[in-house]
Amino acid sequence: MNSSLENITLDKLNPGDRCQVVRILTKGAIRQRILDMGIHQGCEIEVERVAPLGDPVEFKLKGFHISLRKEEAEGIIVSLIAERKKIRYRRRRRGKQSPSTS
Amino acid sequence: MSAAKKITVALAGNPNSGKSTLFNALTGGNQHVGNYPGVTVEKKSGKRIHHGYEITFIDLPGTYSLGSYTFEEKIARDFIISEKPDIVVDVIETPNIERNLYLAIQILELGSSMMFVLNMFDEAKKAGMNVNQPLFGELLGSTAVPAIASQEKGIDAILDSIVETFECGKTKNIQINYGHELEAAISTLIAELDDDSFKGKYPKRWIALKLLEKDAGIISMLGDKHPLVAKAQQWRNAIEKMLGSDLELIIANQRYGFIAGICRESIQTTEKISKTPTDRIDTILTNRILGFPIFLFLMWLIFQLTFKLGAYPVKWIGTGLGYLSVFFSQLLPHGFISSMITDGIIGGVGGVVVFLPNILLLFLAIAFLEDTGYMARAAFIMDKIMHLIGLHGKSFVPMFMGFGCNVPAIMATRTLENPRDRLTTMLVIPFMSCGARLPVYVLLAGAFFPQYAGNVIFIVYLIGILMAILMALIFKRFIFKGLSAPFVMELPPYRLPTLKSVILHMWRRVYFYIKKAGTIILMASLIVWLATAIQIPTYSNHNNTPQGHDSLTDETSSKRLENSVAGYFGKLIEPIIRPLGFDWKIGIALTGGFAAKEIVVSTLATIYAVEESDVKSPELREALKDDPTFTPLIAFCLMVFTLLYSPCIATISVIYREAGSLKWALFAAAYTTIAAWIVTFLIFQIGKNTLGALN
Repeated sequence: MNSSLENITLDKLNPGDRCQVVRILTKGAIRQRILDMGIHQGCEIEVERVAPLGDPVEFKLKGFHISLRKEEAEGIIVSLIAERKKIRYRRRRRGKQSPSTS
Repeated sequence: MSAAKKITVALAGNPNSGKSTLFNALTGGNQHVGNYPGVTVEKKSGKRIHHGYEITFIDLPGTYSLGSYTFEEKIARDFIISEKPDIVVDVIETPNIERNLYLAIQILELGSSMMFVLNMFDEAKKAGMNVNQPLFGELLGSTAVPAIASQEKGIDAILDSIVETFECGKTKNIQINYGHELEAAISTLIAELDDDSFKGKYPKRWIALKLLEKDAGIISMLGDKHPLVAKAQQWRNAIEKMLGSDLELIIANQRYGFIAGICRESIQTTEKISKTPTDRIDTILTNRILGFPIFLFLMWLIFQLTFKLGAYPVKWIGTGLGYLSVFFSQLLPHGFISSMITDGIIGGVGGVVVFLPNILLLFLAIAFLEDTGYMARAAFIMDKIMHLIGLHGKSFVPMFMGFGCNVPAIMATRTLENPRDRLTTMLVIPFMSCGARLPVYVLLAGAFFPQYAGNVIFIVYLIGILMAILMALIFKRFIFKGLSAPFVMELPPYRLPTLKSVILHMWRRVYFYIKKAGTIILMASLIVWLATAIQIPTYSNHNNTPQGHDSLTDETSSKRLENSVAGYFGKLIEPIIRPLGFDWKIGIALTGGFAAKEIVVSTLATIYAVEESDVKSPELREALKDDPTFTPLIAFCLMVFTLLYSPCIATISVIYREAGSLKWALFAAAYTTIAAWIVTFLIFQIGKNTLGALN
């Protein structure tokens, strides 16, 4: 499970995940807004939380918080840097080998 | 004594950078609020004398960038370009310095003489940031002054720096290197730009960059056919192919790279605290389980505060105006003039002033929520639902407030940045059943559905909500189609606003209301009053003698209403409203309701010659029930029609002022009335036939 090589869209991440922006596929006004608000190729984003009703999602980057709808985050391709710690713990308990011990 | 030297300073900066707080601190009370020409965006300006200089500050709209996408950007950019302020002060939210510099760079590229205020310096320090101010300023070709605007710290240093920058001439010109390919393109375009159509207004490099960015503003200025536009497009295509990415992305990357470089050199960041107070508060306020209930509770709280608490001053105002009315009616001989002053003018002024307590309290609450940063969370929580009906999360609060009163609710739509979202929200707020309509429901439901009054009224409210949702969807689909407005929204850190700024924030709304809306409401009320007072010599061709008291005055005032312009109008529209089960009496009542919806009740009372026009008055109920043409079905139809048809004059006036055009205000009045007609028609016809079939 070498997650740092996988590219995934921002909307698919979970609270606690940290990632780096690889490409921005969105176009138009939404893209302009995203760029103006500080999201650009190479910047690091951390997923903070999801709104009570499931959408939008709050992200943390470079000293501020921003929220995007999932459909807006769909166009941002990122590479995972670190996942939520809980998941790793669960995997270890199930007996699977984690990358560091392989 | 020589005249004071004048300096014009424009304040620019991101939203949430504390720009407005700084503006207030710099100008003290000397502010003037106007509008930028042609749009409904506020233009704040103020003056300050410092060491013999007269400094005029203009508070530009908060923006993240200077492109051509949003209204605010265009205004800020156009102002800097055409008004050419002596200095542009960029107010930077220091904890968030990298993103704030994105705007700073674009202002620099415009060639403006700049100065930087590192606001919220204390927060940055707490977050572990150490800014080497002189170096930072130098890297940007200017000076940087730290400040804490909310505590009015650093103000004198800023003023000194403004004077210094003004006297020492233009700041050093900083250029970003956009990379080999782009720089080649820029150079070529500059060389061909000896066109004098700009008359030195813009730096050539900036124009070249904008052409490559396909900036809508510049292209419309040059014209589509201009050879340079095509040339720029060619360069664009070539570069995009070579680098495998859209030009906007390339440019943004270069900018952020430049910014990162500056920050690396001039800012030291020590270990940051992992969980800020804001994070901790949000864990509760936007919690998956608790977030929603807390939000609903806060909404309920504000509603109670605004409308229950506000009811007291409203009552006092009503009583006060009542005394005034009585005073004048006793002073002057009974007649037209007396009536004009008491019913027309005092009634009209009353119609304006009566909203003040609610507006004051509501905007106090909203100002507080906005300035603390909670409003962004409210939008965050509600967006899923709002987006389903084509609106924005920020639409919820104004719509919810519409249940109390549409007037402040429509004014509250200012928080919506996107003009389309704002307009759509404004247009559907009238379907939120306001407090003025409630007396009509209470009267009719009490008279005709004594057992089920509460449920019937609830159904009426529900119809309003459903219609609002339906119309929101229709508007998004057909009228404002194709424009998907971004939700992308910043969640600023929680900050405790100063009392001064909250009150100023609220006061601006109140002032706007009195000055702009108030005048129209007064005028319109006078016109409506005239319509009910001016008599048309016509004979009544209906034999329905209203039942009620025998007192001469009652029959006279009933007859007077019947023979007035309004009465004539009511009879005129009778053929149109007959398919809804209404007759001319209801027609007159509805005409009166146009002034203010609760007037439907008092007008009915006058027509039926009942002295006591109290909603719970048994005489009025009896009078209605005894009228054979008034059936429970018709009563229900009247409730629905009152709910849906044109909002009151006050609401129309505010829509006019907030939307900035008469067209939309009239559209609001027209489409709601048409919708009311259609829905009531369906209910009446279906109801009539179903009930007929059942008999």
